[in-house]
Amino acid sequence: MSTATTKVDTITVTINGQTIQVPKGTRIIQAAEMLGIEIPTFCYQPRMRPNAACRICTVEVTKPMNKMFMACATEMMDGMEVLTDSERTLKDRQTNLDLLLTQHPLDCPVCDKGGECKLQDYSVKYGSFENPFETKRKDFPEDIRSVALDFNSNRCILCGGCIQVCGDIQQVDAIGFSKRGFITVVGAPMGEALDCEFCGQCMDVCPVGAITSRFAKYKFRPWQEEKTQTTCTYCGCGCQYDLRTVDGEASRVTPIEGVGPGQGSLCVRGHFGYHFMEDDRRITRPLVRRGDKLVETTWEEAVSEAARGLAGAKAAGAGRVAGIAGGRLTNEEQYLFGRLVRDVLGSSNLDSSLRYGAINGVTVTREALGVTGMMNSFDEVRAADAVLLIGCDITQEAPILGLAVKEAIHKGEKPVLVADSMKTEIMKRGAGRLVYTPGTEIAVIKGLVKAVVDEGLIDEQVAKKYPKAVQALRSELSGTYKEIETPTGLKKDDIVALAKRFAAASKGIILAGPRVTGGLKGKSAMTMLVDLAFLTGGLTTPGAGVNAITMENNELGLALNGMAPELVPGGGSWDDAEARGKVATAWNCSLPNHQGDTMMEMFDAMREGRISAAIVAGTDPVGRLPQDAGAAEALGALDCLVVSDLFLSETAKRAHVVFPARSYAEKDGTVTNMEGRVQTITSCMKAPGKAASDWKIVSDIAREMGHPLEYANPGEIRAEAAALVPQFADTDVTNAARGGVSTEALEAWLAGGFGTGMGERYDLPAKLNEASGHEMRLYVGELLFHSGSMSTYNWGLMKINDAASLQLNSREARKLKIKEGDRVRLTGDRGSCVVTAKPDPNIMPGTLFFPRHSVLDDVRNLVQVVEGSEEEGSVPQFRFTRVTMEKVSGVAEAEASA
Amino acid sequence: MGLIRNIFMTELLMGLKIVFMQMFKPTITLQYPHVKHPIPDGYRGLMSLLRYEDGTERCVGCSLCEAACPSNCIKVVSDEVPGQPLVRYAREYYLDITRCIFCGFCTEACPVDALAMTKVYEAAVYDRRDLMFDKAKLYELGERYLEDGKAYLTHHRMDDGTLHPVEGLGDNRYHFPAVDAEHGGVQPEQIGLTAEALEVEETTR
Ligand code: SF4
Ligand code: SF4
Ligand code: SF4
Ligand code: SF4
Ligand code: SF4
Ligand code: FES
Repeated sequence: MSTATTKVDTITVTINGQTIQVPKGTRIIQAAEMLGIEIPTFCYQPRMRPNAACRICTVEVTKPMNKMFMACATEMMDGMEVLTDSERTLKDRQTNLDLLLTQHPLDCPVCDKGGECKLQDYSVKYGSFENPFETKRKDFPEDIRSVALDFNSNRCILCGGCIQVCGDIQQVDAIGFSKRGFITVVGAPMGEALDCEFCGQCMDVCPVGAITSRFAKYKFRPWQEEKTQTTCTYCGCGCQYDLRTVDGEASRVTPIEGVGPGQGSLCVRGHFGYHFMEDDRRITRPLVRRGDKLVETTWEEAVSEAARGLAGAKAAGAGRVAGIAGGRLTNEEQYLFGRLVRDVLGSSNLDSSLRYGAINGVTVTREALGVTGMMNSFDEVRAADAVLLIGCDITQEAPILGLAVKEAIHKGEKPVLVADSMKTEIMKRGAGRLVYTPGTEIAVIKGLVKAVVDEGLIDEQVAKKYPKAVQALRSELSGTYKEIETPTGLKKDDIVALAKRFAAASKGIILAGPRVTGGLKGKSAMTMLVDLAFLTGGLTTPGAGVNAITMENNELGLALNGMAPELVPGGGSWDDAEARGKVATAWNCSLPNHQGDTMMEMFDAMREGRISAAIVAGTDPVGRLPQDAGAAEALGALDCLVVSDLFLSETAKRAHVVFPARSYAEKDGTVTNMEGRVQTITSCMKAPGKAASDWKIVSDIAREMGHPLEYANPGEIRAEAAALVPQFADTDVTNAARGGVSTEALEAWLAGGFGTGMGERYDLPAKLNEASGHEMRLYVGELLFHSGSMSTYNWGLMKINDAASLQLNSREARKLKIKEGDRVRLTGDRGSCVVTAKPDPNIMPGTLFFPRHSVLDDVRNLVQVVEGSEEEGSVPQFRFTRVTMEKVSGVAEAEASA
Repeated sequence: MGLIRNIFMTELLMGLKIVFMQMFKPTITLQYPHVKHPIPDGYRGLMSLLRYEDGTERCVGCSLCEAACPSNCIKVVSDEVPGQPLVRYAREYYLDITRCIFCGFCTEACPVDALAMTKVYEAAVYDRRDLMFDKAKLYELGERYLEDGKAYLTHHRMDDGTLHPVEGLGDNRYHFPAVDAEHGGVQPEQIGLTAEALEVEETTR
């Protein structure tokens, strides 16, 4: 190494006599951290630019000049010498604390920060007990009007951290200071009650007890708590946090700075959704059906009844048993469940919630790029030059990935390009927007690909290297824009403009949401997006790419464990005899040699009596799918239905045997997030009653059936699974870190699968233009405050948001004289129902939105399911429907119900 | 010498002298348990929890006693008083007397003088479980031996008496953050507070 280059990149500095080489631009605090020297800070946040408001970090610089400097904000110079505990430093620190304590209340005994409060700690360590200043303590009332966060401005030391995190990281700008000087208070502007995204990050960064949680109010002391690092299981982001418990009861959740996909950020669900484990509605004992009723029974009895039922169906013929698993199970549990169905029960009818999730996204990227899950990591999203979101309300569906997108925009003033059917939160920050008619994603995507081809936006290198593929696409897209403009309601110019902006970015990332992968012709739509990425160089440029987001926590685990009839463990396809052979060898069994039924086919078979027994774990098909899917009748027709769940779900209500399952806080194992990271969940709470991990339940049933699958702990299962699923061998590694796109896979794809069915891929479905007697388009989607149905068992989250109301365009509402809280009747081809309306300016005219989490509402049942063809991944489309809306008066409703 | 001593039985007389002297002094042997020794005010006997005169529980559930206890025999379960936002109390309170070493650290840690030690030293019971004091029991002791508690706190007062009124338990009531449900405390002017209106409190030094 030449000295010249060393000089450019690194500098030599000395802190408290210890010399260290640090990169140029390192601030004093960072260098001190490297040396393990502690400097007190209030407002410093490692992930944010220095705020330099509190000045507690002041240290003495002795060389090259003798002066006091703020450690958090000062970049070091070569040869700088710093003293962090010189007399002068200590004196300044003491004065700083003395001044703070002239106003600070004596609330420590009742303050929820007590015990982990920086002001407390520093006062003891650096303060004086002889405050020379006049005391004038603040005594403002505490603002407890918001549902989740209490603001006590008396304790606020005005460091500004909360405002910064809300503005820079969460980018909501929900809070600020009002007034000046002594009477400065922190909270929502204009003295309003706070009503924000309730991510709780302002509370996390507050060094004192000025912002505290309403849900944990006065319920803990930090020294009473036990901390367990675990993974949030609400969505596919898989954020890491500490679940804290006092005597085995959840007290609160705290983020871990710099760790995991979120890097220390959490969303409202992860932060405040920790109550469902202790809900009274949990099932605590096994239940068996006696006539119309489910009655409690012993574990042994339940196991033997379940085993009897499943074995009976197995004996009656191959393929008479089906298994459906969910993303709530850990990798290990899914693996064992799959083995139970395919090996012990000898049936290939194995499907999972992946079917009504992102199976199309997962399959397409695996086939085309050799990646199961996202090809980009969240970090790559943070560093992207442009992000294109399609059918993806990212801040609601995957909030922390949403933060990564926000960071990408914020950092480099880079464009985020959004195409969606409503004005989403991220669209408001977007540089390019397309608001299309709900359900027409495929046409929008076709338009974008067409624009890239027509406008000469194809990446030069791609055009040179793969002329044949480019030509094939070109000839497929020779039609006019008319077929795109009509259904989507978009203009050609807008589509072209968006495509141009995306193509201009060198590191462009595409994120496809559930409305693409689960929409009409979802597989084709996803494949077109791969084409789009391919043409713009996204598959060959590091840091660029195309991704489908998965919404359920361990949805990717389902794919890796082969929990779909067309997949095998390891994520390979069932058609691949070699992959199948590997599984058969590992399990020492012969796998059934025909591909099994997908979920919708299973339902048909159940209704027709071809399948007579089923086992369902960790998902609720009856509750998740609209009535039209026929899950209730199908599962109700079985001779034996075995279900394991935490709560008596709609599916469990129809079961013959119900096993009480454990929540993520009561079991050990791993889950895979959408980036492909395998992360650990650790048990730290006592399971209620007899509740057991799903792998235990599976193992017990298998033993009873005379085919033992015995393991001492999930670790053993994982070790076995890792032989088939190499991803399980390493923890916390993203797909991107594993190498991202596999070049062989891509070449093979371009040589083979790429051209197959290209004509059909670009044929728009006739359904797009189908006329209907109903003029409104209703779509069912996700809300930030809830995900799946589990979140609705949290009293905390329900307090923040329990509204199951229908959102409609405000202007339209005014025209129809509908106010918030009014009741409206929706009528569709599948019946009608009455709901509460909520006008919202972000909803487009002619469109209605209803949150999907609300399990009890009839709105979901209005949806007509469009069954996907086999080529389209057999994915049922159930997010859109056409309805007529009319206002009902209170009287009319009362009469109707009478 | 020895002979003379033997003849006159001087040793006996010397001994008797003590006997006779003691005969005219007052008796100090107490007929325990019929008669009990007076106990000094600072005595560290069984623990008790105290109330304000209006019956409000003094304990604010801060768990500092729990943290201070060297033998880990205190367990505080704190919460917000139902129906009284921002008022903190101990929903449950346990003190395991079998493990208590009567050091009194907890009473010193208590910021609101909610804990006091009584002069009760007869802790023997037939069932050891009865020595697991819960909140009700501790408050009951506090009520029964209120005078002991007052005396204890006065005796152990470490400050000069300005922070805490000297005579036992004054109105040293805990000042909880105020609630202003309407204005939420966000805008001081809205609630009639200006900087000048806020009282200037002298340091107690
Ligand atoms: S913020 Fe800290 S110093 Fe202030 S009252 Fe709370 S615990 Fe005490
Ligand atoms: S909870 Fe989150 S969104 Fe709300 S004010 Fe705090 S930082 Fe901002
Ligand atoms: S509320 Fe907390 S984080 Fe916000 S300015 Fe005050 S002390 Fe700082
Ligand atoms: S719900 Fe998703 S984004 Fe929110 S904390 Fe949990 S894993 Fe992270
Ligand atoms: S007795 Fe005193 S120290 Fe113990 S919890 Fe109650 S108020 Fe706190
Ligand atoms: S930490 Fe440096 S000024 Fe606040």
